[in-house]
Order: sequence, then C-alpha cells, then structure tokens
Amino acid sequence: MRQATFQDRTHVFAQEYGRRPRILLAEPAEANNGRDLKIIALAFADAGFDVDISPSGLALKTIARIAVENDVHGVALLFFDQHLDIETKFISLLEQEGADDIQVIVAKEKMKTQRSGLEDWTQGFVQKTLTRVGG
Amino acid sequence: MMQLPDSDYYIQGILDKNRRILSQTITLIESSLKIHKTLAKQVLDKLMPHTGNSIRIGITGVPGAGKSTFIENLGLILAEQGHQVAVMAVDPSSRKMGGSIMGDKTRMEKLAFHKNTFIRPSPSGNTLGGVAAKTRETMLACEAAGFDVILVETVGVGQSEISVAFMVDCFLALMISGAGDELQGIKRGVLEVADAIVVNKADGKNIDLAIKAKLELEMAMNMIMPASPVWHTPVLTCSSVTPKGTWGVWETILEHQKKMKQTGDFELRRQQQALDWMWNLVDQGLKSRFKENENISKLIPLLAEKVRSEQISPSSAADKMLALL
Repeated sequence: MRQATFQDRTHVFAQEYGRRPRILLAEPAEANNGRDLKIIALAFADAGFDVDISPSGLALKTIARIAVENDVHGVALLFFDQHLDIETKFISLLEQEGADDIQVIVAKEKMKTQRSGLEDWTQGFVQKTLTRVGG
Repeated sequence: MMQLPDSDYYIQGILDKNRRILSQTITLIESSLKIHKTLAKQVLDKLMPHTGNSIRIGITGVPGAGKSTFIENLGLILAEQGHQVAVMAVDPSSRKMGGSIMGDKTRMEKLAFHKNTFIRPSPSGNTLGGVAAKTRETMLACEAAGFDVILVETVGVGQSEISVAFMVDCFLALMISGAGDELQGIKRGVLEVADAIVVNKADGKNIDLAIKAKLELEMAMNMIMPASPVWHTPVLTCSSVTPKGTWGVWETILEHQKKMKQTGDFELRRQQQALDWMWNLVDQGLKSRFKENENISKLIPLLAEKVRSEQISPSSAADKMLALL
C-alpha cells in the first residue's frame, strides 16, 4: 500500500514538473557499503525516482558537481555519520555552483546491516526525501 | 510551481559556458511539459548559429563491452589535450513501474571531475520518440556551450542504438573477444551503420583472443556493403585500461573525419540527418494530431472491429480515417 502512495506522489510530481524527481546517492569511502546502496537505490526507483549513484569516496566538491550536471532535485548523503557539519559544508559547495535549490538530505542514523532493519529504514528515508523535494 | 526564467537566461548562460545553466537547459529539453518544450525550442533556435563546431561520436555495444571504461579512457586523453568533452549517456535501465537507476558516473569517475568535461546520463524513460529525440537537442546545447567533442553512449539493446547512429559523424560499435556467440547477438543492422568496429579489452591474457575476434569480424564485414564508397569500415583492437590505450581509435576517427570532409560527405551527412530529423518530428506530430482528432478517435474502434471481423479491408479502413483529417 505504501509503495502505491509513493508512486502516486512521484507521478503527480512528474506531471507538475515535467520529469520524475531525480536523486543522487553518495557515500564516503569508508562506508564501502555498495550492497546497501543498491537496496536503497532500488527502493527509490520503485517509488518512481530517477536515481543517480555517485562513485563512493568522492570529494564533496565532486559530488556537488555531479549533482549540478545531472540537475538532480536532491542529494542523499548516506553513511556520513562520522562527518561533522557535512550538511552545511555541502550546501555551501552547491551554492558556489549556483545551485541553492538542490535539497540535501543527510542520513545520520546508524544503519543496521540486517535486511529487515534496512528496508524499514529505507522506506522512511524515501518518505522524508520525497517530502523534501516537494513531491 | 516556480517561476520559469526567460529564454535569455538560458541562452546567455550557455554562451557563458555556465555548467549549471547548461544542465538546466538539458532538463528543459527533456521535460514533458508543453511550456518547457516551447521554451526549449526558442532557446535552441537562438543557439543554432553557435552549434556544429564539434565532432559527434556515437558509441554502442552489448552490455559488458566496456563502453564506460572506453569513454573514460578516450575522454581523458582528449580532455588532457584541451578538448572540451561532453558525454551523453542514454541509460536503458528503466523499469516498468518505477523510475530508473543510472550508474554511469560510477564507471567514469576520473572523467567526472576533469575541468574540461561534462557528463549527463539521461533516463530512457517513456518519452514520446524515445530519449534519442532529446539527445540530439542536448548535443546542440553542449556545442553552443563550447564542447568540441560529443560522445553519445547507448546500449546495444532496442532501437536507441540505431537512432544514435543517425545523429553522429562517426558511429563506433564496441565488441569483446570470445566472439562467436557474442557475434550472433549483434544485430547485423549495427554493423551496417558502424563507421568503425572496435574490439575492446585487448589487454593482458586477452590479446590473442581479441586479435582472433578482430579477424572474425573482418570476415563478417567483408560480406556487408559499405555505406560509403570512400570508407571501408575498419576493425580495430584497443585497451581501455592501459593509459592512452584508445589512442588508435581516436586516430581512426580523425582519419574518417578527414576523408569525409575532403569528399564533402561530412556536411552532406549532417544536412541529411537534420532533414531526417525534421521529417521524423513531422511524422510524430501528425500521429499525435491524428489521435487527438475527436471524429477520428470515435471512428477507430468501429473500423477496428470491422477489420477484425473482415467486413472491410485494412486499406479501405485506413482511407476512411485519413479522409477525416
């Protein structure tokens, strides 16, 4: 039931803005969490997002550049829990590129590696992101 | 909904080589909203005098042929030489119900932050006329922003690969060794329109196999009529993991371009592509107008039923509908 709601919302979004909500997922090098990242990416795609996945461990500056070139609505910084003040830093990098309208969503929560835990968490995260980008 | 900037914002931004505005213009081009499409057309019309100064290269290949690594290797050589390289990647990983997952930059990470590059993956989505329709216009926007090498990546699945061949100056088909089976999977149509065939991954233990594949492909190519009388499609080998391993391919692209320019075929091909593109759009427009016509859409189920039950021939049913246009 919940899935259908996400899809309805992204559908309405696409009709209003002319394309699906587009999200960039990025993780730091030490996360090395490719598998979890794939599960999260799939959940976003199922919800009706177009999903870009950044190579892991890129400098924030490069992630910002990818966000700008792909013209995403939002950037999800995942598994960055050891980084302080990352949101402020990243937002200022986006501003330098003239992209102050791109939403930044940081996942600070410690991720559970158990599948079920991750899936619940992911649904909540999709929900949060969708609201932030205006869907 | 946000206030839309006027066309000058986009035009000036592109001519100023503003990365952010180029990116926003591509979004406008790809949009499904009528108001965006109208604006995108105005912008492109004004940009036309600034387009064309590039070499447009299309790259196709079966999944696993190493297209992204190839593009990263070639793109880096060119960016290092001072070329401005734009990469358009048409991503096929679109899913029926949901959105799509694009991982191209995952596979081109060095290229992604070089100062002379711009990479834009596009979801193949369910846009009318396929994403290729938008790719052509995106290419023009990049040219106006000063990019002089345009690389269009497409996957050897479905129709998009052939349509890409008809919007570029040089079309490369990437292959891998171990041919035989793979060769059967390649559509003959792709070999017919390719300007060069490249056997990728000719490195390490794979070199002998790659050379064998090259010979097999050369034999296969001998049975295909060359598309141009002045260019016989060569089969090359390359390695995308050795530095400058794709240099030979670039030399072939330049040689092809030189020959085509000498004979005038370069310009002719571009002109023909632009005309084909125009007719393509006319066809699409006619079809959608036809279906939007109320009288016709009422008639369609009736006539369809008559055709099914063989009360009327398909051709006279078509005549009846067309007569209403």
